[in-house]
Amino acid sequence: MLDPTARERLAVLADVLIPGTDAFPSASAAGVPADLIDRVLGFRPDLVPAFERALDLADGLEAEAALDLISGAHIAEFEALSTLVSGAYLQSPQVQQALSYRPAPRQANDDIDTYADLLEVVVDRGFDIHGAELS
Amino acid sequence: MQAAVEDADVLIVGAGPSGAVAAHELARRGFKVVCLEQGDWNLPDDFTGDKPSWELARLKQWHPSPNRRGNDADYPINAENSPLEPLLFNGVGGSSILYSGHWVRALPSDFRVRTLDGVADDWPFTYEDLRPFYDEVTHHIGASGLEGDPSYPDAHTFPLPPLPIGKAGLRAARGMDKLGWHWWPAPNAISSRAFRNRPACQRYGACESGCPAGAKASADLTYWPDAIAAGAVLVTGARVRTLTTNENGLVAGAEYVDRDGRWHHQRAGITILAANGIGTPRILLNSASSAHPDGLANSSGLVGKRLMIHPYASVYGTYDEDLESHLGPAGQSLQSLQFYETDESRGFVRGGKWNLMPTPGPLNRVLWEPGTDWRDGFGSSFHDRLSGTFGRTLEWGITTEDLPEEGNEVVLDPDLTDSDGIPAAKINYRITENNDRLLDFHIARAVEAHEAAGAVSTHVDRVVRDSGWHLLGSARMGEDRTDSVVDQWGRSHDIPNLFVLDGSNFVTSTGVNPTATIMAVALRAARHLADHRSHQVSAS
Ligand SMILES: Cc1cc2nc3c(=O)[nH]c(=O)nc-3n(C[C@H](O)[C@H](O)[C@H](O)COP(=O)(O)OP(=O)(O)OC[C@H]3O[C@@H](n4cnc5c(N)ncnc54)[C@H](O)[C@@H]3O)c2cc1C
Ligand code: SF4
Repeated sequence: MLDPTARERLAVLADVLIPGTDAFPSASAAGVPADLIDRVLGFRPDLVPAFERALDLADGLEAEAALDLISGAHIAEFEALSTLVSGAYLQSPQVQQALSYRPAPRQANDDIDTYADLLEVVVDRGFDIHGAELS
Repeated sequence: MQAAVEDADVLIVGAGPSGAVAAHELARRGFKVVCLEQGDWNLPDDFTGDKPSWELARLKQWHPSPNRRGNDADYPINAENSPLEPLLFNGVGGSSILYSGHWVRALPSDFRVRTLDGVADDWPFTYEDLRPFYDEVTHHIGASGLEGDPSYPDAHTFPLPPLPIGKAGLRAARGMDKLGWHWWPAPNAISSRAFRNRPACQRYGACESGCPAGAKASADLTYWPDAIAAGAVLVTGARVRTLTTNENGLVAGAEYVDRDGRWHHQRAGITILAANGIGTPRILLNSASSAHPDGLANSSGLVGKRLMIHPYASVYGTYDEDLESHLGPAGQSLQSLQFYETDESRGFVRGGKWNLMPTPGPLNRVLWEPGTDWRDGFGSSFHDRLSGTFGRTLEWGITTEDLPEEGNEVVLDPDLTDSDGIPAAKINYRITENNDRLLDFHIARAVEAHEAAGAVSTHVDRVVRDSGWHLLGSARMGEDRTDSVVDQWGRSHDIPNLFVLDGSNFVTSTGVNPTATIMAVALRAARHLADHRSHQVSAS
């Protein structure tokens, strides 16, 4: 569990990584520093140490300077931070809706009719098969 | 070490597609079959493709690299000396648990590259010899596809109709049509409709991290239930260290360790290795003894040599409309063999196979590339990148044929071991000059294909590091015992009761995804073994 200071620091970094737009919420408006980060840390316990180190490295720095420092000299920490923040953000139903993301399941409907005419051309063109006579 | 539980007629090491098809054929023909598999069973519900954790879990728990995953069942592979990371899965079904299911036959020319192109070696049999076995396996596993692809000499059939190509496939097909290039709705080892014990595909696109619907034709679902029903015994959590030999120089069986750290010996009359292009040479090299100082079955010196991995290029095109390109299967929607056959005017021999694939999952669109400025993908760029590419990006993936080179090899690492202390494998691999030229040519054509289809931008990953999913050639077959390890039936030239039935036995890599061929070759060999049982040398 992140303590309140870590959550606050995360909110600042996350909003610089993923700011809001007219269509999309910012990371903190989507709930990243709240329950979503807890959820994704649960999915990837292996990333917890590097993620915590990333937050520690940001201590006392402006967000942009912190992100420059971490991405420049602490690759594993920046990978953990950016992957978890993005992963948490994309869990948000509000974000998925803004993205028009309607995940599967979907039916695997047959769509041969949509391309049958194009395929006829492929068949008519034929193919130069090498070595068939050697079989 | 514990005594054997029971003697087997046939011991198979490895429960992937090659081990499964052999176990089924031999068990149904009356052999007492035991298979030792270091991994475990997985149930569809173990896979995360239908769960919120999927995109994060596929970067770790379900990553195709055993080095990244690091499960108990995995063994590490030192790939420092390789631009390609070896990818595989250790468990019942083997790497087919994670395979994409591209179900592609090799072409006639693949079996005759020396005769046609003056390179490498011809196979000891032809496409025609293998064809009935391709047909049989294709119908057993329930592959989906469309009959009549003109790039093959025969209009081979599929038990299931092709999977949907969707808006994305149609867009790419129109581009190929403009250029006058070959394409075909792609064959996949994925059910487009319910087939035997599998439901129809539900389009999660998570095929490469395990199918949560159970729609993909992985060997745990296709062959193992039938093999077990026919009497085969599958022992999981059983990691083989060495094959043992008897006083007649035959293989007597295998010593293995279970998950509780107890050692056992499994005796068998005949032993079959089906542990894949890295696992099989690893076992043979680990089985070195004073009688076989260079490893078992290695009088040719070719065990571990001639490793082929198929360097893979990804050419992405991004389009100006939502093509729902996040939908599976992944799986391939189209394939093209336009540039498969040799045309020496291009400056190289042989060619490659193209597959059109979706780009499932939004997280994959926004991952940070180490070494790049974070502002390129985050901050004010984040939303443009996400919305501009998600659902709109298609991949022409190019599987390129690499020709065998002795310097490309699997060896034992002097230091690295698995969690049981068994020496691990190391691969030394470099991309050949022919392949470099081949890659450049194919990539340039794939960019043209996207442009013809109206892509607004293209992006090339010239050699995808995480693409070492085809591990072939490291115990090759051939007629001459001085330059091959096994004969055309997979039987060791040195030790007549030892067989290699996984893709280690490939003579050349072909330019297509290998599993259909691996399984057809394994079925052909297992059937031959059963048909000639009375002549087969056995240790029991
Ligand atoms: C991500 C990914 C995508 C792929 N996509 C495709 C595709 O689209 N089309 C295609 O044709 N192919 C594809 N492949 C390749 C395909 O999975 C393999 O060709 C196929 O699984 C090989 O079958 P096999 O039986 O020879 O070996 P494997 O499937 O690798 O099985 C070998 C088995 O042996 C076991 N084993 C190894 N060593 C030991 C030991 N010492 N003791 C006990 N057990 C042992 C392993 O645990 C494993 O289960 C893909 C592979 C991956 C990883
Ligand atoms: S796309 Fe189909 S085969 Fe692939 S994971 Fe989903 S249901 Fe399984």
